[in-house]
Amino acid sequence: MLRTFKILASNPLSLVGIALIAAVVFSAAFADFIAPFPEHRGAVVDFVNFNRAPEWPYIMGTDLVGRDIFSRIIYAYRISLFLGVVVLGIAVPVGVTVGLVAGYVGGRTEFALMRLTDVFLSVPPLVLAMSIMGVLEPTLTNGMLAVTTMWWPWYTRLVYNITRSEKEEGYVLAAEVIGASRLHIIFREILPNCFPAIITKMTLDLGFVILIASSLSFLGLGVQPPTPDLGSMVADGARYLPDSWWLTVFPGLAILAAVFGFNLVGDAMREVLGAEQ
Amino acid sequence: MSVPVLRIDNLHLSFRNWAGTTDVLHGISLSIDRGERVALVGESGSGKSVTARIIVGLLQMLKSARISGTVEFEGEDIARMTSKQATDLRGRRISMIFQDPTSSLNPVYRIGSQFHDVLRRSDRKIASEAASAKAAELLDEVAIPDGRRVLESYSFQLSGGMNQRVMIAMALANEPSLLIADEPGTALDVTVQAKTLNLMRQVVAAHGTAVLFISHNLGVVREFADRVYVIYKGRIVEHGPADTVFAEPGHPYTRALMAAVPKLTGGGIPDAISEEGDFLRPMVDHADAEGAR
Repeated sequence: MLRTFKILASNPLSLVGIALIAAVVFSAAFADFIAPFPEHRGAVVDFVNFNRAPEWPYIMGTDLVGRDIFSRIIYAYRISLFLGVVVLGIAVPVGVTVGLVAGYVGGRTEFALMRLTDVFLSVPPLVLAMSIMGVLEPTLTNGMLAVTTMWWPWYTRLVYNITRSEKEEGYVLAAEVIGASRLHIIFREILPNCFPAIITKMTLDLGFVILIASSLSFLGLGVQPPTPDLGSMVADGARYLPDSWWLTVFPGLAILAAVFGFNLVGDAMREVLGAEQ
Repeated sequence: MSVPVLRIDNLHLSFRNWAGTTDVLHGISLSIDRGERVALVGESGSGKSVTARIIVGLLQMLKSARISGTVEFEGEDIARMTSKQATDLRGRRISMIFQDPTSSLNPVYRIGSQFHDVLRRSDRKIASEAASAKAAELLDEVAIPDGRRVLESYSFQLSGGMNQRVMIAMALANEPSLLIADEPGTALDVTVQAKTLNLMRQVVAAHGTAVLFISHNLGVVREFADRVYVIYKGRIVEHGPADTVFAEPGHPYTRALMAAVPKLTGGGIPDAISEEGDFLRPMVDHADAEGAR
């Protein structure tokens, strides 16, 4: 663990990634103390200061009803991260379990599970999420549901492939010979050998989940106003480009920072964990 | 004579696939007495390993495998056992070691924790302190004196020979009456292999464990086994005490197999065994001739 961290710290790009993630997580966690105008996360109207260019105390300007954009970005991070963690928290266990079972048990079970996975994979991800959100009400919960639905099959594919090769390893055979149960073999023998790949993918995916969730709300299918969301902030400001550029540029950069940070760290993790094996 | 540890009678195996059925074993019969070391020798694809897998009940799980004949373990027919009995059999009364010792140990766990899992097969509630004490004791028996350190290691931190000895210790941990060694040490170099086999011979003798030794290495078999079965294309072609079989091989296939062993003294690589009709001649059984059994 410590060694992993040392390798991560020795690579300048991953340091940038760690710094970005740290900044995002820190500001989301302590939003109430960092945001200059905490009340601006809700339905506040301040027509005296509406649509201001960046100037003190509004370091990123204000939006069309006079709310501080910097404060709203910080609160939007909080929701994005929460969404990312919940989506992965559901999609990863589901996807991993399906992949392990399909890969180890084989036969008809494998056929049924993997074809089901293929069905989900064959629908373009954003389209699937959009149709789910179109049918259901656009709320945060449904947004998470939609993104989760499109996310788990990727983990199934990943873990399925690893399981197929690990299954042929001697230690699995040895466990079978001493009469270990299938549950034991799947979760105690094979699963730990999938962890490096799963952890790498999760780090990369946290950024992508934030991106997809922002895309959904950009299209008006995500979190609804007045809750701050990076995607809908970009969408709202897009009409006023290029004059009121701060309405879109800062939320856009905020998305970039989060996704970029998780990607850099994910890439570094891949190298670290890959080298360990 | 007492009930043999393992008795296989007229075992047939075929695999069914889209092209029809492929016969693999054509009626194999063999038996192993308590504490006896028996070798099953043959070339790749002759049916050695599938026989081992049938004994431990792994092939029975495959839908495509068609098995007939009897396999009796200590007088009980394993085909008639309930699945609970069969599970109980594996890992406690029969254990198995494999060709590549390093891959037989899961790289993500320390040796100690895997040893603990094995010991728990016979004693569900064994405490972890007691388990490590017992494991260290067993490791000491296979010439690993600093057992505690090895138990703290991962398999990839140990040498192949060390892993093989760990595997032997694990395989004998629950005092099985039969140990199946499927080409043990083929992945090791010659000197380490010789040492491990010597060690294995001492340990099984001390425990009174019967061994079914599966190998294609005639030199090793000659040193290790009391009795030898030679298998060719799913048929046992020769059987007898190791000394007799090596001194006066009766079956053409056995003679060809022995001639195919490269000599240290040079003379080039021997010709590959060509398929000849008389390899399918009936079995030569030295045991009958000598009245040993």
